[in-house]
Amino acid sequence: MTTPESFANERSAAIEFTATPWGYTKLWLVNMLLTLATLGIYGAWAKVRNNQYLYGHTSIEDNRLQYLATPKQILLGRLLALGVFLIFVGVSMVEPMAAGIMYLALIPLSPWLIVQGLKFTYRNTAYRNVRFDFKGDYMGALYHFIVLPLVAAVTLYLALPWVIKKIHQFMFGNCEYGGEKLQLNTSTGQYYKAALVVFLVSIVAFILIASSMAGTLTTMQGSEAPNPLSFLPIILVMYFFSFLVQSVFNAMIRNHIAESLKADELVRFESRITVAGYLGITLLNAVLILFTLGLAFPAAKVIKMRYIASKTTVFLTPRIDHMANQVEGKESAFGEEAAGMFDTDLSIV
Amino acid sequence: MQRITGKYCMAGRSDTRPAILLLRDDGSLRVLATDFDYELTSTTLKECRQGDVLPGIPVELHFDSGDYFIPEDPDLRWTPRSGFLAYLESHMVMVLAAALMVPLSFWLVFTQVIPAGAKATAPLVPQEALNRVGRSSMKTLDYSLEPSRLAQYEQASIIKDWNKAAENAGLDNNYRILFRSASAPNAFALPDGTIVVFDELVSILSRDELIAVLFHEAGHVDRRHGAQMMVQASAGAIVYGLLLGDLEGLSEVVLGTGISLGENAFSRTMETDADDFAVEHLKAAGMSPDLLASALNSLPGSQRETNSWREYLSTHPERKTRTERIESASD
Repeated sequence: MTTPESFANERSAAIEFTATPWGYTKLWLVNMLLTLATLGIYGAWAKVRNNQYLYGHTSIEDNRLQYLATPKQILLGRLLALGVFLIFVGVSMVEPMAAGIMYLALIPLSPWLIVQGLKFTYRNTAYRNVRFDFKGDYMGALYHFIVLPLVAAVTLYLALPWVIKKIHQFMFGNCEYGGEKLQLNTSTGQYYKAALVVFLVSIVAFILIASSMAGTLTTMQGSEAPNPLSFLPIILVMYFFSFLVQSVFNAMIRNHIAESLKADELVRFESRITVAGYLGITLLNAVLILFTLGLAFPAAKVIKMRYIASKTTVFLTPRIDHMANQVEGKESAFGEEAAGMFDTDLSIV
Repeated sequence: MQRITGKYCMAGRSDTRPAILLLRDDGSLRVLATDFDYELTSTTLKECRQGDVLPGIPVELHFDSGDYFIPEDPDLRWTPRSGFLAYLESHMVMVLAAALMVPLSFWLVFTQVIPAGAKATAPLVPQEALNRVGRSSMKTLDYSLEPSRLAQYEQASIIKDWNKAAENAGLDNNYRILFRSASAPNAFALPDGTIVVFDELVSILSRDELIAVLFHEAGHVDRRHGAQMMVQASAGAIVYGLLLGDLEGLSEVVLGTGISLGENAFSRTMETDADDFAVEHLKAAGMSPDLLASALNSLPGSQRETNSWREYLSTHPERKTRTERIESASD
């Protein structure tokens, strides 16, 4: 584990996360009800209030994070994205060939959507009145989200850990706060280390799944009816392991990202997530969500955020007390909403 | 006069000052910096804008200059009747209502409202659009289907028998029967009235049973099930995007599964609809409705025992349920 260099006059601060699972569940449920009652229109307001609650309950040195997007921005972005989506659906039904061409057109368009979406999210996040900003451009997004994944595929995914590292660097290293660029000096070795652990866990998973599959197949030979439900345990086991694998990778990489992220003489982070702790939270949330048919989604989100916040420390220098905002947050929410609609959202590790 | 302790924040700057806000009963107010006791601003409540009220988060008071004041007390409200949403969001009755209504509404929207809406709007889809969909789907499907190996005269004789049966049943016959070959015995209908029959089906059914299956497929076309599916799929995708666009991970999987199970239920009602159509027209043509039941029973696969669990996973109703329904109709 790399130990980040400390700044001369830094002070350490915990991330205080005061949202409660039940508190957020109440807010989320009522907002969902209002969204249903207004046939989805209130959804824009619900999104803003949900984010305001989660951001507002996250504070560093008694200063709360701010979510500054307005419902009107989101509603407009959503309607625009919906219009485009409807055109897609309409065309792909009537003329599947033309739809294929439209989807091809979406490939060069998607880096633009990603950049717009990230800009919107960053610029509407603020700490102490100073908004974050995203400085990545179209070519950068094209390289990181289209070219590099192709490279990963061509190298039979041997290059994948490096590609993930590059994508993280693009997303975090292009973040600016009050004109100060953040740097993400992650090491490729850490990504390969995490990938190796994931690979070993996957092999164990494969052996287990293969042996249980053999068991099911032999019992099926007896009866003439292959019951699709007999595959359910295997599917569950596969799901469990994909979860396990993802959590191991996330836990290992999250610490590394936090400790490699800094803005010179302004801010750096420390993260002490453990694989066991992170995995425990992930499994707890999975059980909660399964047994409530998804209703525990807000509670699960708070539980996870609370865990991550409790394991993260921020180091700030006195410069943080005299920063000036450099950006406005007036751009359209189209990119972000379109990303949601076409399900090309980025899941930030 | 109220003395409210808090913090004074400056527009677009990270500087903050501990401050006290003095609020008089007439609404006029002064904000003083605590450290040096000088005045930061003075105004009246009426000229200020209140921030959004969220449970557990102090409510900001914004001044004309863009500066604002954050009180320490998260429960403080600047005007007596503010925070209606926050009140709803933390009020037990409302929360309980939401906990019951949200799952119920989802169930209603996806299994009742959208299918009913699709059924109602299906007749509005112009026939020209359906014809285009039919033609282009057939083109796409032909990439994966083999040409039929049935002799020309056999194809012609099936079509002749079908035309006769349709005429006897009083069916407005604008169906086009096409023959293809694939790995399984099956038949399907496209919304433009094209009915595709696989050689494998022809070989295992008697001629009359085949006619019964054709009546079933014609039922899908006549009841505009294709248009219904199209409307339903797009409406479902839009509603899902608007309501649940923010979900991620496992919640998305769980809810998505629930919704597709609901949609399968709707597709099962389409099958029963088409069965009813077939039974009705078989009778009108002077044929036995039992032909449809025996056609179903001739299909391979041994899903004879009833498994109530599996029915939810299926797009077609259990065969036993279907044959019983058909047989009861034929009495």
